Amino acid sequence: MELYSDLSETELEIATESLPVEVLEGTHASGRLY
Amino acid sequence: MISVNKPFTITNGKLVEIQPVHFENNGTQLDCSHSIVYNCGSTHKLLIDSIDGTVDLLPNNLYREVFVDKDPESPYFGYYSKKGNKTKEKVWQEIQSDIQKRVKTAAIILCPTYRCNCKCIYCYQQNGKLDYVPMSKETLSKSLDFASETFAKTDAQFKNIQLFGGEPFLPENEETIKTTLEFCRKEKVPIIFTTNLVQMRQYRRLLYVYHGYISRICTTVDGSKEIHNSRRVSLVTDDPFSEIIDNINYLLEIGIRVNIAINLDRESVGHLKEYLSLAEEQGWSGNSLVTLEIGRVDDRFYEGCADNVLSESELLDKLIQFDREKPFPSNIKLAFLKAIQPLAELIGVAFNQKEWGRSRYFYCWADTPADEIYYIDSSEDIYRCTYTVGKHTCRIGTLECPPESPELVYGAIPLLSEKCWNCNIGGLCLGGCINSRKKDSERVCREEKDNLDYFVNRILTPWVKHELCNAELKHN
Repeated sequence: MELYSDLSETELEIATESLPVEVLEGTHASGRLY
Repeated sequence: MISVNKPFTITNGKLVEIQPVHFENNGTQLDCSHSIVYNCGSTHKLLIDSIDGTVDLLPNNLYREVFVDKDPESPYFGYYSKKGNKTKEKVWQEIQSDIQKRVKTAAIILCPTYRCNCKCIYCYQQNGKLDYVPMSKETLSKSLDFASETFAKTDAQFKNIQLFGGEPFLPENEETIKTTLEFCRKEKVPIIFTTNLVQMRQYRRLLYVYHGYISRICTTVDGSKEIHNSRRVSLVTDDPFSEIIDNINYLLEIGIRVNIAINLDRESVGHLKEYLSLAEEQGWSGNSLVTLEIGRVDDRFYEGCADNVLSESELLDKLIQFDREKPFPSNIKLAFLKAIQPLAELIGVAFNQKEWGRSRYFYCWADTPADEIYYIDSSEDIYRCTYTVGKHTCRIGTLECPPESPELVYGAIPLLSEKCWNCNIGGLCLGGCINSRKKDSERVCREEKDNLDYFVNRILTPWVKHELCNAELKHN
């Protein structure tokens, strides 16, 4: 997904990184802890 | 085929016949101290065991045989003699075992400021004497060090950082948010934001860059534009609603999960329809990135900041009616059931509620001594519960003197206190909200009893009668 054409090299690198889905969706996935 | 003259228990949304158990007179006494009985029409009784969380339906004659005459010759006397004797020791063992084996979370929740760009009419933070000083760089750094230490020594399977408030996405919080996102990247922990999204636009690029580290963003939309803008009044724009919708759709476009909550009370519950229509129009219904969360406006400290509060049961009753008229989308999730939650589960009306961190014999996740959850504010104070954040008298420690990890202590479990253990609904209400209890414990007891009565009379009994009626129809 390319939404910004002026991202720096560092920003581009970070934008391609991701934590595993199971970590992102981990138990307390909601701010309200529900 | 079920016969209405037999006793039943409710399991997985069905009436299941109770089988008689041979009675051996070994001195076991019939124990009804944790049960509450309601009439179900003129022919049956509903027997709710608050500790087991079970609901049985007994024809009046069987109820009389077993519980009034205590007739050992009754074919069901054995069943209830065997079942009904949970002791404090057994419950204590269950609690220990549950706390030990549960999947745990450690979360550090930062409140960079208590300032907010909205003045929502039901906000529980509006009556407190909050310290509106923004979090300094030094305090942020100390808070993140505390997070690193907590994550390093915890055995929790899940860890996260959260930004809360006040409102995190205020223009002046930019450096705090950047630093926190970079911390999450380095520590490889996800971040969750709780925000009204009114001024998120200036953060779009940053959120895009770090989207792979964002677990989800939790926000609130109280129905239509008119309703939302009148209840969640913005101090920076006349039309927060339109900005929020635009921001939600941006987040979804870049693949970030969004919790879109609606907070309901007596005044707004009728507008749930607008919220559900909006969700449908915007493509949020059934969207795997979206959770449509239904919350209940409450007044935990009895401060009078939410005059139109509906009880859990009253709200659930309204939701069941909505669902009957038009079934809820699959991604709806309730976020308010407490005392009646086990009973709602039994008859299949809990609508995906799952309160992570809450153990069966505790009122909420915050009073369950399992997860390590710490709210930290700009004064370097640490809090345990969402509702207590910023209330100085409720702090549980400071960054200088942090609290110990949650520990299970027999004497601190409300259910095991004499008062709750000897109350026949204690196993359901579990002492109620600790904050409310400190303020007015008699009111908590009264409200919890009313809550259960409403659930039984308006939700459970009609459900049981409907099931019985179906059974009779099939029988004939």
